[in-house]
Amino acid sequence: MRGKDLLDAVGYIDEELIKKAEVPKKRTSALLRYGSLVAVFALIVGAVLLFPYFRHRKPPVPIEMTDIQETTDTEHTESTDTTAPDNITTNITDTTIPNDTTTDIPGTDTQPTETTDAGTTSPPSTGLTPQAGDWKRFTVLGKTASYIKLSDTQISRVNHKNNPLLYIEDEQGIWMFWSIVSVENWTVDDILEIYGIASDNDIRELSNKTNNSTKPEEKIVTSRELITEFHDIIKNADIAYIHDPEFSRNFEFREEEHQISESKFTLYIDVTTQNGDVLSLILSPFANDLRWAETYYLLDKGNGKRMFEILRGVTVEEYEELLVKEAAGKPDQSAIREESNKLYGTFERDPDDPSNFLYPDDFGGSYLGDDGYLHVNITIPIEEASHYTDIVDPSVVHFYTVEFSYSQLMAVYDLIRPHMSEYKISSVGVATRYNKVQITTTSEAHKDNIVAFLSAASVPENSYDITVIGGIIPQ
Amino acid sequence: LEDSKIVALFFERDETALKEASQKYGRALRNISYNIVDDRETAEECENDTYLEAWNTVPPRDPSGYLFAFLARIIRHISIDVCRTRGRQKRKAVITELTEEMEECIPSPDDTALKLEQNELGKIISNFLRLQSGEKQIIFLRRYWYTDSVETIARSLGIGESKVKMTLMRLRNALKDYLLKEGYDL
Repeated sequence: MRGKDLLDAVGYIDEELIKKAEVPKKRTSALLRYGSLVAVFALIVGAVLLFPYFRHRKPPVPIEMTDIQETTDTEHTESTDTTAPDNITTNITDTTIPNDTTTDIPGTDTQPTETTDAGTTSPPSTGLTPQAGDWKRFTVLGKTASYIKLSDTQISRVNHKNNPLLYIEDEQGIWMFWSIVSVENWTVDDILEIYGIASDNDIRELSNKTNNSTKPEEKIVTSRELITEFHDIIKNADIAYIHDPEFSRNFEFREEEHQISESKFTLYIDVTTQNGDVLSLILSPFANDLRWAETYYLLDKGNGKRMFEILRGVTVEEYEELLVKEAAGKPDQSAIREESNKLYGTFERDPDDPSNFLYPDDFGGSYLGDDGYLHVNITIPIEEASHYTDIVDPSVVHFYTVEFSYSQLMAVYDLIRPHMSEYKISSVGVATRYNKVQITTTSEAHKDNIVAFLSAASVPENSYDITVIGGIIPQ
Repeated sequence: LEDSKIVALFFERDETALKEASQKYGRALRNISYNIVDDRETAEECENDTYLEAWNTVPPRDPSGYLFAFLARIIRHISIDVCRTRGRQKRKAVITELTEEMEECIPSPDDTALKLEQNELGKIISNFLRLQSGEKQIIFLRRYWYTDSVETIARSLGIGESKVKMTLMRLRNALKDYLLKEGYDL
């Protein structure tokens, strides 16, 4: 016998002993314990109340500056500003284009409350709503896992490329927002639509529970009044997603922060529709380590149930210890904005809707690359693209030849978009970066149906990419 | 959902068994795996493989009374196996280190076939651990079951690393004596 065998045999130690050692007793400071309580409280109130803070203004045009764009709303933007990179930053209360990633919350000292459109009014009071003054500042730290590094480990990739991660720093810690369906510009309303929830009357009941084993509670809400209030709150709220020009910031934590949180409670809110479908909203602390982020979408299929979650971290005890490092050597954002304006200034506008561009057939979209440069896709050889290359600064803009024009991709998008419910599509969007339409659905069967549908419409196979989420379902 | 009901879903070949198992134990399982493989993506793969393995073995296995232990055992085994076969050098080194430490517990390590079934051996070690104090049990299990580093154990228990190392060494020696004393010919 070898040590290997004994190590394997340890795996057969009795369950009660293993469970006893599951969560080691930890000596924590009072501040950390207090922080945990705050986190739990934040979770409780956050379920209903976070969304309004992220009500999303109409994105500025041009929309294709984003890597992925998702809703038809994007084509009906009201702004006539053509500063492309601005779409990678946003301001919750301001429909104008912000210049940095700091987002002030209504009612704070740093920025006066300013309600500029219907989508940014204050959320209805539920009595649990944290007052605006409780939230001083949000700073976007990064967009996706691939852009964020810890001191000793890099956070794994996002589980699905259409899952944007959003890290927000406030005075209590870092919030990570993640959603399987929360692609940019999606509203909760878009999600509700998939579930056939057009009004509060389509909701049969709400329930919430936590996974706190010492205090298991499940509260069922059937009061029409409360359901209406809940629906009113969330229906126009945007899923949190804010573009960030400072993708490549790194930040470090103290080693001590890489510990499992003691407050590992997850709050679930299930929205049950009249026909029995369940939309789960999950709020979960992701412990004291970003690495422990949850992925509850796994295996969740077959019942039309999809989930999104908001993960809360209370990792940083003393905020000064969060070190944010700026990425160096990248083009200035204002320069990119300027060049983008030049580019989009050459496009004609839709006479029926001047907020929309009529994209040329040789234009494949543009986006802010990982390298910080403006990437412009074209469908013609670069030597034939002088009408683009001559008008922009090559030190800021990089051109790439792609197969499909942006208009072609949008046509595919427009084709599939009305069939989201039919094919159980949880996200669809034009991924300019990949020169594809990216579609996410919940089963292989649905994927096959989508493929058949697109094939029947003579959509080239390589113009779209369908991902099935849902984990392993053994055959 | 109660374990017995989840297992019943497995028996009925109802795929929601996987969802229920994932919802109830997914995080804990991923944590176990992550501790071993140190990579979130791989941990998720191991988790998926665990459900698949469970799907394939239940039935005939009936882990109604010990579903978590059943799944945890699978994911631990899969994760260690992953480290041994395709893990990064650093993780392989950890497993090697643990294996070497375990070897110290064996009265006369050799290449002879294992004379005891692993589950029997697991019971023996369980009995040994029950003779130890709570803290010692946790230290042993965190090290050899969860594969925590000494540093992590020390930090989580709020004690010094040297104490953890010393305790582990004494536990290994004690386990070796226990195995000899109990007449187990390994």
